[in-house]
Amino acid sequence: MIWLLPANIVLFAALSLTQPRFFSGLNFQALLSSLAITVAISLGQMVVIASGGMNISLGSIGALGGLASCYAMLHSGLPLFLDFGVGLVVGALCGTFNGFLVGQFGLSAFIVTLGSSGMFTAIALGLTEVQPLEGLPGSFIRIGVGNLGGVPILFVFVACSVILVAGFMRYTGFGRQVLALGGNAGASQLVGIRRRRVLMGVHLLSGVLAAWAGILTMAQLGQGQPDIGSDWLLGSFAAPIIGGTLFAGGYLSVAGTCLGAGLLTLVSSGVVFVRLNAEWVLVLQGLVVVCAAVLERARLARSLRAGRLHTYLRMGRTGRKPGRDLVRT
Amino acid sequence: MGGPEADPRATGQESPTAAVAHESREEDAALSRDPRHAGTATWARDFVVRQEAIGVAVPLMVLLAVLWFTRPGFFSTFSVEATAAQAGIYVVVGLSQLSVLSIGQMNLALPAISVSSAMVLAYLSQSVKIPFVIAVLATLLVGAIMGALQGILVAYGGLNAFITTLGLANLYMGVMFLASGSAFYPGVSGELARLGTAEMLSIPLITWIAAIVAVAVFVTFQRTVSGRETLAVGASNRAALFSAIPVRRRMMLAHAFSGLLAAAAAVLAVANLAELDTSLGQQWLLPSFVAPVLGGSLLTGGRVTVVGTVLGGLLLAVLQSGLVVLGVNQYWYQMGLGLVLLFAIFIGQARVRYLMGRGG
Repeated sequence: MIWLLPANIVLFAALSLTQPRFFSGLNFQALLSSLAITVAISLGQMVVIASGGMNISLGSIGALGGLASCYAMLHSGLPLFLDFGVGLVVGALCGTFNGFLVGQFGLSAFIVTLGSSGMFTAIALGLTEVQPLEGLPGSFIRIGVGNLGGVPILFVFVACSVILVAGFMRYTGFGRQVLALGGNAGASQLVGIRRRRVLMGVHLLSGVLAAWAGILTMAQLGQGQPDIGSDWLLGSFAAPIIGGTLFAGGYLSVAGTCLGAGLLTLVSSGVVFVRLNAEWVLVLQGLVVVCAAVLERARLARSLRAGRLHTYLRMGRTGRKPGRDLVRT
Repeated sequence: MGGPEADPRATGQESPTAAVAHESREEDAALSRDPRHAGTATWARDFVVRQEAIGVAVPLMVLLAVLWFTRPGFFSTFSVEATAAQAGIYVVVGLSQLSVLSIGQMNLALPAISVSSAMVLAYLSQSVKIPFVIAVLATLLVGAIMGALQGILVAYGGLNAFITTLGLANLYMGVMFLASGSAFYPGVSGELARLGTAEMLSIPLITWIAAIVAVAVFVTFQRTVSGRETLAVGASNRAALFSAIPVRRRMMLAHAFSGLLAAAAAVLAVANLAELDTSLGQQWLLPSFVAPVLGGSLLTGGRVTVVGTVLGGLLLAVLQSGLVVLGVNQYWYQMGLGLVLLFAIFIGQARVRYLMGRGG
């Protein structure tokens, strides 16, 4: 989405010029932290969208995975990174549950993840009695609020995971298979791509990424909050869609997702600085999503009207003009 | 079916009688694969499976049986009335989503429209003090307009329903909270409270209203041209287009109708609860899908079952009240909902596969 980068720059510049306190190191750190969380949330959704499905239970898996990690930090004697691993494993299990139902039985990803989101939320809230887990180790909390050379540790963590995911989707066979399945399920199966395996795998990956985002969110909050993720639905879809990931699947753009997340972060931060009511964030973010959908649709219509039928067909599947690569990172 | 000459097993002479008997046995075999000539047992099995509401009727009966034997107090007048009122609300919520499912789409803005309508109702009936009936009609109109807006974007703008309703949901919530200025409306107006407690033949008025709505929706989809056309659009956009059906108008109206019903559900819920609880509608997304899907409506559109949705709404209410009566933690209601939804989807799939195999 070519307009994303200028939009981000313009918004950033506008806010910096009109709000004196916006252009400060402290605010940049806050922005990067917020951006990191938004991107982390979007990663899990982005990969599933690329496969042609979706994951409504992203927030619930995030809560469960985060809680599992916090619990491990408090009660097991494991080192911190293994506690992270516990959470990621829980996320993987939840994702596998989804992937099994979607892949094996061919059920709609929407309904399966809608149902499983209720189940996972129930488990998370029921096990904790809606009481947050407190007393987390200092090293964990430092991840959430600390900085590394002026840059929030959260941002560093998420940046690494972004690079990993981008490389995985672009350079591994499995990543390519996910995109092929999303692009044209029938053709991909004719070519020998195992639909069940790919769907299972991508939902597993989504679960792991969801848990990753959940753990990081709890680090930022400083406690094991069981009701996180309930508002992840819009954010997890908005950033990828704005960024150019096709809702129908087959194409994703990691850079686009990051820029889309950046736009959303700037909007929410801007609302705070301009001292508007907090609800304006909802309004503006909703508007941005709808506008992004409109713009993409306009691009499609224009390419059809200009007689560029091949572009229309190609865009309808991959959203790129012919000649460009399938995955742009 | 060829004569005896075509029979490869006829090596030599076969008596004509035997040949005819053999031929008729083959015909019998072929007929028994034809559902119309199936034996009684097969017919009964086919009949049961063909009922779309089987996916909800069985769990409902099981649940009621469990409650009957373990907690007969569930069937006290008070409890039955409360459950019936809640069922009425869930039915209308389910019908709202059904309206959009009929064209094969989904309305993620349903909770937002409901919450917004509830706020509009509270504002109109308490701050502005306009007549109750006008306030309710205005609320319904607001819901319909919200639905129409998303319908226009989806039908005429060609946008994806999921993304559009997701974005608009947040938009509506934000606008509503801004417009209400976080004003707090404790309690409800007199007439609304009376609506919540009134009953006819010891069934809450809310349930009666929901029943009327269900009948209206049923008649719309079953008997009116616009309803049948909407189902045709859901079954196949292209076929409907080539049949001179105004596809985009039907889509837009389906969304508008969904918004209208979402607002109606909100009115009933506020009346039932006797106070404005904005968190109420926000939990409706999952139930709004469970009721229709459980009842047998297809997510892909073209086929809806109002009876199934009514039973689904009833199941949801019985599940909710039943879990309270059984002393189960309320969180397990969410768990139950999720499980029930997955179960419903399974049953639906199995049904479709079975019926396809039977040639039905």
